Amino acid sequence: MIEKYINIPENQIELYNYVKDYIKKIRNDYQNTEHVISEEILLKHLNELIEIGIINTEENDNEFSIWSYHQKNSLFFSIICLLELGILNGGLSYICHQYAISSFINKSLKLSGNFPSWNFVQGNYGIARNLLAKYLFSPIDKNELSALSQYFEISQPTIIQIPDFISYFSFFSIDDSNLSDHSFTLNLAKIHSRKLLYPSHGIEEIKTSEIQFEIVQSFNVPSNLFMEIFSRQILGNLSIATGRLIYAFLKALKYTNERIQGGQLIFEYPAIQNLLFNAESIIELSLNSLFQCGTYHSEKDLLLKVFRIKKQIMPLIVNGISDCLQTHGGYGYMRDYGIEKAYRDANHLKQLYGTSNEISIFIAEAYKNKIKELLI
Amino acid sequence: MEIKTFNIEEKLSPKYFLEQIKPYLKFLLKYDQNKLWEMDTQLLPKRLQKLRRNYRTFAEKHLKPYALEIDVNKNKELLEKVKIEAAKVGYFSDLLPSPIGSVDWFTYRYPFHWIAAIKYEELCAACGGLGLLIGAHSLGVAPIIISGDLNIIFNHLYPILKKNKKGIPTLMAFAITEPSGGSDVEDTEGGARYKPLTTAKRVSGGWLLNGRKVFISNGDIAHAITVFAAIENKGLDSWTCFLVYDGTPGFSRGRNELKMGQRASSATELIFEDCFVPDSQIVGGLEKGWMLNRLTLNYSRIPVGSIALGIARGAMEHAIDFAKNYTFSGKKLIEYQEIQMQIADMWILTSATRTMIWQYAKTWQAHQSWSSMIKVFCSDTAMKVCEIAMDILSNHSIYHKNYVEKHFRDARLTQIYEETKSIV
Repeated sequence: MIEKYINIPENQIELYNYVKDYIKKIRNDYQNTEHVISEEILLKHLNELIEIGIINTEENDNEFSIWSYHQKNSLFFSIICLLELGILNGGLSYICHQYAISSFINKSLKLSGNFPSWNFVQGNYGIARNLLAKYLFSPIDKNELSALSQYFEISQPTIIQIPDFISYFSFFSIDDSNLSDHSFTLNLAKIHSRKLLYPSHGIEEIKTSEIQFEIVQSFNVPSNLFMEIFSRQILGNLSIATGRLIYAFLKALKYTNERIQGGQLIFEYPAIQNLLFNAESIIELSLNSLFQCGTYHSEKDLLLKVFRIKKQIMPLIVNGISDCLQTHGGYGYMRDYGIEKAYRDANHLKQLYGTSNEISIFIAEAYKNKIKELLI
Repeated sequence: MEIKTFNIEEKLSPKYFLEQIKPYLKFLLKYDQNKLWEMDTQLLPKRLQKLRRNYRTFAEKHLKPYALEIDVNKNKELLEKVKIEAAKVGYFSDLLPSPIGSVDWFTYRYPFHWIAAIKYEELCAACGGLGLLIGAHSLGVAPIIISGDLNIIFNHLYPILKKNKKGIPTLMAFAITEPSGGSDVEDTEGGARYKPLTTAKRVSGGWLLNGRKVFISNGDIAHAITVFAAIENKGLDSWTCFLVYDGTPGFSRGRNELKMGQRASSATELIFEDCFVPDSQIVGGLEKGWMLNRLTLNYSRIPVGSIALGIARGAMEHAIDFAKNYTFSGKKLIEYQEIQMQIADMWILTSATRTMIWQYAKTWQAHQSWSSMIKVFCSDTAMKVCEIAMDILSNHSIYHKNYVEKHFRDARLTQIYEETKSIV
């Protein structure tokens, strides 16, 4: 689907076709379903994706896997993969994304053994935000770090979205007593018990549970790597959300060309054409931004880019899907049509890793430090 | 920058300043530290103030505690409990004054869509779905009242309202939407070109209804339904309103749709296969359906606006509660200036919406342009407010237990039902 919007580089086209064929093969499992795909099917497809090397593991890491450690090509390729998977289903793409991120951490830290397959950052995201905002514009000296320490809150996740088949997960924390470039810690936790909660707003395939866990291992993580992981988390979410928008747009296009209202096809009304045109403009904008990030290689600047893009584009994506939903009238609100799920999935992803206002708050904070330089 | 909050005794506080002014000016200036909700209430006439407080108390006591559970599992026992409580306090019979309905005559001097607007804001602030469940009944009753058809009012509506007043919930529904034309049947231009799918064929002593209706709120639990059908081989201008009882031969129910939000109230498919309706159950006369439909929607879009407003206010209240209690980077979220500005934005939007609703609901005549305007503005505003509320909760907003995501889903429907906003 994505090749309609962008030329896939020659060295990646073979693998891209591989992904496309695979998605074509499993597409039937995702059609004519009311809304949520079972974990069994997701796990089966996840394993198949690992088998063919699209998702990297310790054994099969190659430069084309999603979020491969050989990042030069993988950044671009991951975006394409997650876009394609996002068009298919929010749950599968999110699982693949988190799985690949964990493998990326595993490889980056050169860890061996049974490292977890699930990465979790948002639980103590508040800790990182201030520091990130500072990092974006200037290196932090010791004084600044100690001043910052008063803002830190150490919290541990208690409610997370995690599939049943995963019993380990990882989360970041920070040592606020002695802040340095190596204060980030990655904790590996084993889940002891989980209590299933009501479904989340979106990505319903993955269950939301209240968990009790025990930290079994901790690793020091350099701040650069932390930021890179962070960038990739956001980029992946953006790719999935854009995939969901493409799905909604195609659905709306089909529906408006079939449905007659007031004696003519809905598509023939200028107001509807306008809504669809808006949605496609947003797809174009989002893809261009994503692909630009995909060819970028500086970790520090990448995070800044990603933050800016997320702040501006995520709300647009949600609005774009909302417009596509509106063209369906009452049918758009019903679960059978799938478009309301795409809407919730995208809105769900919008809330993770900083909402627009939070990004604004902390980037504005960082600008305060930069203002003197800007004035000069 | 820290924001200074003035104590009431300090010289710079508005209170101190107001104490210094001449007594006659105190009529014009007021510095009230009451809750904002109470300040809004005081803008209403005394009788409506009392009603608004009652609605809020009811919603807090009987709707809010069950909202999440019913939203996910549609727990039938809880739903029944809510219906019985609502029937007992007269919420299913308040479109008419006593002795037929449950409203006293002193209250009835105010337009019923104003009373409804106040009611549904309060109920939907607790739960949009349960608010709709109660509201959809009134929508079913409305064409009968608007028709002024005394035969139907005394012989059919009165027994229903009487049961409700006794605390036995007996609900009604309003059926216009057809599978191939949701908005066509609500709009003049679309209606002119639309070929009706639900038709009535003349037989001895009555009419045989054939066809399907979809997305009917309360369709699965309604005891009686006001169904709109066209006379056989005629267009939408021949629409006639028929009163169909549950259990009538030839009338059955199809599927209950799975909706994104407002799940407490169902959206049901109704199937008519040679369903016989006697002449005595025609509401307002033959071929008067289009007029009844238009007038009903003109009156109901104002309460739809207030449903949207209620949902938005509910989201706002939950967001404020969260911001007050959640500590972030060492201080309460509400102490951040950006959060305060967002809360102010939400308050401005909901206040503007309420002002608009109350302004137009004050008159007995419901103009189509006003009610459509209210519906579009309120539903769009509700979405904006819910988006801001979700942003305030950030990654906490995606969890069902925090209510806000439910309000977000509920609000989205107000942009769709009673005509999608692009057609209105």
